[in-house]
Amino acid sequence: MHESEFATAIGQLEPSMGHPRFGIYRNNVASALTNSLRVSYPVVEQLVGPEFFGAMARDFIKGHKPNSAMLISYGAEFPEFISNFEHAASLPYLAYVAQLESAWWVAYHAADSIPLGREILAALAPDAWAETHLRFLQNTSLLKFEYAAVSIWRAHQDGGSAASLQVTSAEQALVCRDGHQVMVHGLTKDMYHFLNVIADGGTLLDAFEFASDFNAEFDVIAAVQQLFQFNMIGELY
Amino acid sequence: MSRPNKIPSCGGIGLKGEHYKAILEAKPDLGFFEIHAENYMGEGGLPHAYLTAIRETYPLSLHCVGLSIGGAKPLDQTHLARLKSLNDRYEPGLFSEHLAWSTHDVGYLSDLLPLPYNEKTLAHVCAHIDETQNYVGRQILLENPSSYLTFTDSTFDEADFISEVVRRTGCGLLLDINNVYISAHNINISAQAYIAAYPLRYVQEIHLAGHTMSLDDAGQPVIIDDHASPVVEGVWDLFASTIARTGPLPTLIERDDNVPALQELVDEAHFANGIMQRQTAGAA
Repeated sequence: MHESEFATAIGQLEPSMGHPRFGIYRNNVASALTNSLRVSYPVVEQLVGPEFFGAMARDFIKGHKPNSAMLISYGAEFPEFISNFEHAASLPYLAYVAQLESAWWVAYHAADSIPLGREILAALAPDAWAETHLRFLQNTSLLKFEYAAVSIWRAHQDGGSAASLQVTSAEQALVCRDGHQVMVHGLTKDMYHFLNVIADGGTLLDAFEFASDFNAEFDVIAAVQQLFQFNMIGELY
Repeated sequence: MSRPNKIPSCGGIGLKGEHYKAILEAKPDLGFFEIHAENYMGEGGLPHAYLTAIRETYPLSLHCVGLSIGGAKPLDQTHLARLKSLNDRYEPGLFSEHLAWSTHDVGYLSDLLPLPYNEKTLAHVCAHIDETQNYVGRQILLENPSSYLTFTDSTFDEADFISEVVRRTGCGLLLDINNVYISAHNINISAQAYIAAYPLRYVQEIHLAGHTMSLDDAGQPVIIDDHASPVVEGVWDLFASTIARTGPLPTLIERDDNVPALQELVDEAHFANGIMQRQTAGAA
């Protein structure tokens, strides 16, 4: 076999070079990438089974080559790919579960950072809170699903149960880190919008007003305390 | 108490996430742990927390799979920077990469791909090793590949090629005995002759692993290097005859798939220790 033929063919993952051993390299490349997706999307694999997952992964791999050897960052586009994958169209929640797992994986490997403690609130002047902004730690994600992705994901964790699962309920989630542990918190709609306004740079008053559109009784004090309990605040400004 | 840096000449195993807790609880009797550098290139989180804790007790070997030393393309500078940062942070006793390539115009190809052995590839390999050693600031060990095929444009034997790389760059060697066994079968060479021609005095680490018998597209038997099962007897034999010539060396049991309970790998590492003790006692 000649070097230049080999490099070109393996680069394009051509099905055959005429060499009976060439397929070994092609399989190795594909199975390393498939395994990498299996590691970061374990619940998606449980939902569709290893065989279907393998076929879906191989389709994904054809159009998505990793751009670096750091495979822990491979597969960020997998949720979007799943949402357009016609063979999975009968599982409309699958792409949302993948989104949740993608956020989990990012948080898992994210830089360690130290959250602000709630004592900072005591230092805030009573009339200052309305104009206050909060910056979330970098390892947090806010997610909104048209299906019950959080409940489905939870049912597939150790000790989880799918007994009372309402697959078609829309859900919202916050994925963040507590120390080294990745936390997945289900959020009510008002709380999701409250957090979303803050994440977009709005003041606490902006966020409160927006959340109140979804829940006239929205308790902003309790909501802010909750955020500090989640250990997700990096800065007050 | 400072953490141990130097890797002793005895058995170690690859560090797997499924063993993190068991390692910290049991503190098994092992010479070292080896990590794939690429798996620890995330910025933080549990993998680094566990690695830091385990590193307090054990020396570490930093083994790279994605630098593409054997490729014609320039080394990925971001990747080199990440390697240097891991090296500075964890102070591994040994640092190694494969004689292979994985980076091409289409991106990263997640395998250790083979290269022909000729003056042109020798120049690439040596330039990349020089660059890596200068950048990271330490010697690198080069690992011999497992082969499934040979190239018509090779002008060197693999062992001669590797000897020349050592001579030109001052790198050390990681001798993968399983790869020698696999290549010998797949490309029809003698494993004993390979070892005899290999520059053994530069070897600072040994790799041992399992493999799987398969058939190629022509229906011919081929051994696949999959690290998915225990080390086989033929590889232990080749290890023993090699150790009889080199003396004991840091020896890694590699398992990357079908990862068993921690104790099973510890037992394999201890089995390697037994062979090294017997071979050394026999030579004395």
